[in-house]
Amino acid sequence: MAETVRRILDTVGIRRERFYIDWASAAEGPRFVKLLTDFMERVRALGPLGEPEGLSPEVLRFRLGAARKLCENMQFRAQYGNLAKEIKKLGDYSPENIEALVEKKLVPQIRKRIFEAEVKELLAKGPQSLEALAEATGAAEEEISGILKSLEKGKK
Amino acid sequence: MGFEPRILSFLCNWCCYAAADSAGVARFSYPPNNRVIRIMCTGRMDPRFVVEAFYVGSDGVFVGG
Amino acid sequence: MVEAGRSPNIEILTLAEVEELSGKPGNFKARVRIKPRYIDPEKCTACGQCMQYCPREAVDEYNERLDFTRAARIDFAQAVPTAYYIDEERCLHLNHETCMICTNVCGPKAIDFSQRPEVRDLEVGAVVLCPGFGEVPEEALEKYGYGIYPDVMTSLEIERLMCVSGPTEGEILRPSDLSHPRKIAFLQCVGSRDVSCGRPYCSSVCCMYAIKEASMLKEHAPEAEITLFFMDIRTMGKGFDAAFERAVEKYGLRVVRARIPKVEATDGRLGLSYVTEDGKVHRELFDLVVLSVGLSAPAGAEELARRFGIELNPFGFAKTSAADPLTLKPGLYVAGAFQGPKDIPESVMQASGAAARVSELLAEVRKQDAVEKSFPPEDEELLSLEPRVGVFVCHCGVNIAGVIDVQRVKDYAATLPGVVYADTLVYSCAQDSLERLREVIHEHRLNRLVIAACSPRTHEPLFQETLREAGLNLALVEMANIRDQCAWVHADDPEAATRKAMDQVRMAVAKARRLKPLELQKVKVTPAALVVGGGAAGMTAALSIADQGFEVHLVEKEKELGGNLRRVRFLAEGENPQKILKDLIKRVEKHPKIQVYTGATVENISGYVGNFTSTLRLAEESKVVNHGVVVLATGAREHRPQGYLYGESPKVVTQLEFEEKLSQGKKGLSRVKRVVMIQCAGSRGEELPYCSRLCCQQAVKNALKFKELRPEGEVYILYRDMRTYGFYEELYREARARGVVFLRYQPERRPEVVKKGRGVRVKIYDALLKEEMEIPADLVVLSVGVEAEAENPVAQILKTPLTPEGFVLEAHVKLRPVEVAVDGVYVCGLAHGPKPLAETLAQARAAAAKAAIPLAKGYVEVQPIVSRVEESKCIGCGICVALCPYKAIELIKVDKRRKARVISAACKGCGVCGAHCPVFAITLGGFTDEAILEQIRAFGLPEAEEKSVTEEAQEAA
Repeated sequence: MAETVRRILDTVGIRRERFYIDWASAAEGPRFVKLLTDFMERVRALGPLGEPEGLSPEVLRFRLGAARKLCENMQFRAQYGNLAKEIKKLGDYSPENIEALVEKKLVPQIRKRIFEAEVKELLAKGPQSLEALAEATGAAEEEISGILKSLEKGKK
Repeated sequence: MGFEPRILSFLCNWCCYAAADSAGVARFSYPPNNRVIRIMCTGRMDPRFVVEAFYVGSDGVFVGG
Repeated sequence: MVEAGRSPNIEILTLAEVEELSGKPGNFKARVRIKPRYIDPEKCTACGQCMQYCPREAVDEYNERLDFTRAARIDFAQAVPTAYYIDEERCLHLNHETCMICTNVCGPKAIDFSQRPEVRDLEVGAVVLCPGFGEVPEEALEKYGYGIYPDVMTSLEIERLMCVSGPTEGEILRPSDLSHPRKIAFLQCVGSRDVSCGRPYCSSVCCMYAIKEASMLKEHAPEAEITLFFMDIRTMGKGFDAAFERAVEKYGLRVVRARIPKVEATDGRLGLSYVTEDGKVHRELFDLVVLSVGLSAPAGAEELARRFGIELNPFGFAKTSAADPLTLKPGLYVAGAFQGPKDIPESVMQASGAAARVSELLAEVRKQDAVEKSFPPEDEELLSLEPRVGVFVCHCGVNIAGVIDVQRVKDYAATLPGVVYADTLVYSCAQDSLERLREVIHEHRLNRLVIAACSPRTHEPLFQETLREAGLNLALVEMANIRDQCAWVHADDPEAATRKAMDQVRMAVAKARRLKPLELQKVKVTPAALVVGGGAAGMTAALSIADQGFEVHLVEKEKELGGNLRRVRFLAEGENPQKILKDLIKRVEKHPKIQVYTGATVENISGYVGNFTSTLRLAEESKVVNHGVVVLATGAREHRPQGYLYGESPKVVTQLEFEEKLSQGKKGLSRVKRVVMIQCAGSRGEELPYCSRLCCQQAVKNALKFKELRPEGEVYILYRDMRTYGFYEELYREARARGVVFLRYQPERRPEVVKKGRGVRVKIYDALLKEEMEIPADLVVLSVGVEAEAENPVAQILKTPLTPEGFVLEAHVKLRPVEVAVDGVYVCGLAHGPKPLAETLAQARAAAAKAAIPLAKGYVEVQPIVSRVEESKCIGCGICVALCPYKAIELIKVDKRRKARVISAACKGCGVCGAHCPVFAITLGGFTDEAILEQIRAFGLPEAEEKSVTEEAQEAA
């Protein structure tokens, strides 16, 4: 879950340090306080959401809206669920393993689906240049052209 | 006054939520910037909760298992 | 108290006394005299009119005589029963046949002066005596100026003074001039460890409560300087040392080791003279002196003993044995401070233990007269209405209201969408408040409740039950935690805390609107227990559960039963531990309901409360057993310290090894003339961070045994604090009288053991002489402490939390001291923490009592937080089945299609399934996606609100 979230944040351009997961047992009140306080300090140092990222609130909402659609997409969720199943079967919960698997199996999906949703929404407002699309989504131009091609195909 | 981050935390009922309660019992103070949603386990965490949290303007999301 | 008041199987008789007990165990007749209350508790609504109009003043005993009250009164708002009474001795009508104003002002006509003392004969099977403790007589306090100087107060008085419902509403004012005291002194061991007032024993609880009161005083009056005068710091409870040190550091408390002989008055202040360990004499002035008074035997203990035919110890407490610390005589049991000074966790444990004793005795007639609690049917019409949310913001006395502006939170809550009613409550969990909740639900047709108070982890069940009593589904309440996670941790910033509370309330309301009724399921219980560990604790728990009528599987990893008790040769109480052990083993082995597995381990435990299935690994086979509950009695071991030449020199041994030598009589000690004992070797910060509770009495006990064998021998005990609490203090006194030398060392300069020629010497720094001394020793005995096993595999299998030290963590220190976080699992003995045998045996019975509850009930109610599958949405992908950590989901065929199905009783509601379901077919009771998303959106709201306000402003411009 955590790695997937980080990749989604990467894709929409939010600093991944804004998300943090850690563990403290019921007996570890002081540890909880330290984890939370340290995290707060890191976020405080980052500044308000969007500011260090150079994203305006409108762009943030636009991109996160696309990420929301990703999270509700049934195919993506099935891939995500199947990956979790696979990791459990392997029994290897090391960060390296999870990172590698997410990189391989989910990241292409995350990027494709988020950018696709964004492009669709932008195009709905009228024709846009490739550069403008890349600019608004934060994707590489090749990725955008790939998406445009598949959208074309889909139409036919 | 400087920037005060707004943090949303999802805490596991059995672990971090309990730890947060025990921090209260022991009166360990910490900055009041976070808001808490109790879940029964971090397994409940769906990526869309985090996306939604950022969507509504959270500056940071903490998940405590 | 509230729970006892609510149980249909507990009848509470107040103002009552047992006059006579006849009959035999299982069939007693108790004659009870009930004094008139003069107010009918059935009619009284606790409105307080009678007290308001009562013209007759009376001294307020509840407030430690610091205030006045009225003849018609209630002692405190949360009293059970929540009804007023009339003080016979003060009432004008009862004494002078005048007045009767109360009769006229009482709305429900509850005043009844015709009441006469009533005598009732009760038929009971067993009796438990819990008369509590008594006060130290005032004569014993006079030497400290109590009763002479108004600013000398007892700790009990301070307790009331600090309370918001106390005489000064929580303001710390000293009685002489009502000023705020700047310098406050706590004097320990007042009426304890004091032969001159007939109380030579240690009261066990004062060190800890003094530090608590000092901390609270600092919260109330941060400018106060507080000094505590100790002889020894006896904070030997689980986690107490750490709490003590934390408090001293956080509140800047000054700790001085000295006993104050007397208090004198000088120019309106109080002068204390004392001698510190370095021999220096000091004199200091204070504004307020607090006497940490000890626990005495309850008033009238002798009369009680006569009536019930029981024995008392020389100090007036109930006499029990180490082998059976709960039984006074057959059918008559004891719990709490009447058995000896003890704190709340231990009293609660003992009370459960006594309940186990009763349950063993009366197992055959169980459920005969029991009443099962019933609830009214759910109000379908009300449930079908749109969400109508009621918000209640709790003051929790000052706990919340002292920091958070509850009024503002309430006013804010009233503006939230869906909220039709908002109010504040002083203590939302008190009986009268719960009553009020029910009334308001009916009056305002509420069908969702938000309680902004403490933690749902402790109090949600209480409010759920209240909802059921009001005809609502239990799942329709949501709590906002504004105490544990808000007021208590943001006390320094009331404004921010209030805003946080408002946010949490808004989020709770958002979730509450989405809450749906859930069904409470009942699951049958396998009437058997698995007890892990065959030491004293495990065997006692097993015997108790078996005597209560249930099958027990007792698993011991060693080849024989007995555990650590096998190595104990003497007891501080004087009884023979090996006899106790033999009796236990004999009874366990003979018991038809106990199946013993020695040389066995637990390989796996699956299932849930009521229906566990375990695989036991035996010598040659594995065996599967089914059981409803688990008792963890996995024990602990003697610590092995680094250094002190332990393991290098045969002249350095542990207390248990020394005990073994002592048990062989003189021949084991032929050349030993001088024994040096080192306390806390490895404990209290060296290797183990905690105090092991039992080493001090063990050392003193063994020192005395040595002196008995070799009267001419010398014993030195080097210590930090002698923690011979309770009646063990008598042994300490005796040891000093017999010439055992006690030398205190500083924790930063621990004693060292060095080789010299063929012998060993112990180096210690003497604070009085300010120099290092060397004591040649024939034998060095280390008090090494108790250490948790490096791994606790059973705890790991059950996923029950451990303390950082490796002991099993109880669910709640005071309220649930033998239960753990996992339902149906209980803990006792050294696995829970270090403790002497008598406490272990009491605790084992407590665990047995708790474990027997689901067994006796025959069913457990499954919390409705479980997940559910919407079959029409499910695509049968099986992801949830694979991911469920509890094997609680299975795939079944429905009309030839694969569908997931949840086994509710095994589900823990963790939600992994829901979070990974591709088609959102799984919902989690009380934690649906919609509810959580609403909560997240509500979190984001204030920003949106601000934005819309600015937008509006711009538009207007």
